Amino acid sequence: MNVFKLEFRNGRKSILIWTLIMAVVVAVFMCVFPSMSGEGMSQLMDGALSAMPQEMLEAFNLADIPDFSQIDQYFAYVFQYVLLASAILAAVMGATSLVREESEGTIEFLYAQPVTRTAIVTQKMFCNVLLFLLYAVVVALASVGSIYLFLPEGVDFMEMLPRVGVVFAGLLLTCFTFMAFGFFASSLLRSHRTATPLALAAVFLTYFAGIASKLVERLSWLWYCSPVHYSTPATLIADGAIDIRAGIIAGCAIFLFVSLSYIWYLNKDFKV
Amino acid sequence: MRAIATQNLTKTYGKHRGISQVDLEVQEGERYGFIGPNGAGKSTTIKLLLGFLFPTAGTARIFGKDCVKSSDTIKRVTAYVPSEVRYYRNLTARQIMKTALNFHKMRWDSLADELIDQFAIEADKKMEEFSLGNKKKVAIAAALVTCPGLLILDEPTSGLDPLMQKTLFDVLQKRNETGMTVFMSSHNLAEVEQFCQKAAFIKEGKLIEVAKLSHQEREGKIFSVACPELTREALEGCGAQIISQEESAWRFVYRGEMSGILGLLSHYNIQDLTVRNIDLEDKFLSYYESGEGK
Repeated sequence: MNVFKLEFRNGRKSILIWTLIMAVVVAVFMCVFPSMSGEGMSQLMDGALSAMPQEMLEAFNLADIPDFSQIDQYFAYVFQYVLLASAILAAVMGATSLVREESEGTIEFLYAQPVTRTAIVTQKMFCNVLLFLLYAVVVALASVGSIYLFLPEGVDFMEMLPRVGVVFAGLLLTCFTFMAFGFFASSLLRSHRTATPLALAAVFLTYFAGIASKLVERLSWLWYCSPVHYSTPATLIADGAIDIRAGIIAGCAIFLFVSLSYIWYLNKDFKV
Repeated sequence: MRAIATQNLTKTYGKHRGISQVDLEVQEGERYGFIGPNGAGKSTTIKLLLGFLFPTAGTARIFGKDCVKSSDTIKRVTAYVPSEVRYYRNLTARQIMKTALNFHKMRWDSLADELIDQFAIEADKKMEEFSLGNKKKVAIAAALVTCPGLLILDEPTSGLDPLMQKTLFDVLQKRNETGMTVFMSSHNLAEVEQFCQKAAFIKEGKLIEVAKLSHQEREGKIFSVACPELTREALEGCGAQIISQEESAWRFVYRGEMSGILGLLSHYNIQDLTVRNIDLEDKFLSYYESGEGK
């Protein structure tokens, strides 16, 4: 597990920063909930949202105008941005993981040790998955804690938990899809400088494809190309489960990208 | 047993030349130099041996094991010191050495402390804080601490001060006496000549000669002769290889029996004559300046 340890040591600081920032973002947004749930604010928001074009509401997942006085709907609205940021984090983690060793030259140490290329890929994937799970757990605790603190009277906390759980299951599905794509990209890239822009492009292009699928009827198939839209928090909270099509597509994409990462990395010349 | 054996080893990068049909043979326990100018293919050969690159054709074996199929097994007994050390910036020298030991399932012992002392390494300093030479010292210590059977060094003395260069060769000599094979690429011909028993010359990706460097086995002498009557035909007819001629001053390599060339020169009115053993620099210059070996 020496590759795992090296990867963990390299990745822990940035994941800690991301974790703290996202936990604080969730907590701060949830602090605003009591003021959003007031009747006056609720009417104001409804009025403002009603004035927006339907297409714009669709684009920002506000088509079924959310009731911000309901803590689950408010949380779902806030969490879609956390989801987007988490997808970026996962994609960047995957995309920089393998290629960084080559572009920083550390592969000359790592691959001079008795270790196989398969072990390098496996341990790096395992480490990044674990780091991301730690991030997700802390953000989940911050979310659940914030919901508990600002829970309005009459709402059962225990009833909320499964719905929040589905939102986090969706987050993991989406983010691991992007992380798997990131690994594949990382096995192809020649420099880690291009890894982050590529990861950002992957997240935003697929996200905009998902928006386009909602705006234009004949482009509705683009929904399948947007892992962020598989896990729209408002939909997951309303449905209480992940769309089976999304689960299958994401599972296949993860399998495909992980397999391609191994195939490419095991057969490439290292740039040293 | 052969520590390194390559057959027809070839690597091309698209249209760019890498190395072509390199046949190397390094016996176990040998100190072997690998010489060539920049871009000749030294590093490419080393990276093929270590599995960083895949050969386009041919095979490379270390201790009888294929460098592609058994790369991880080979690295249990092989260590590598790169030319430019770019190890994990946030790790200390001690952590680098510990990590190398962990990969080899070995524990930190007195040898590790000894290497730290010998190379005067500030063990608890991070790699990012080290100068080029100090990074090289850490890389050497991290390689030696695993007690390899074969040590591959790419430009081992670059960045090291003369004292540390001496320490390095003393340590390598001692390890070699206990059986470690040393394969080093270098631009520094004097260090290769002093330390290595054999040297391979590579030029434009092709191996052009393997020379024995022990004085007894060294082939040829360098003659510097001042003689107006001497002719190219006469020298070449005798088997001399002319390096230069300026008016009546001739400089040539002679590899045959001394009586042959002295017999020839005795027929001429020689104004000045110096004879010395051919050294590695002469070989290097004759290969890389005269166009021999192309």
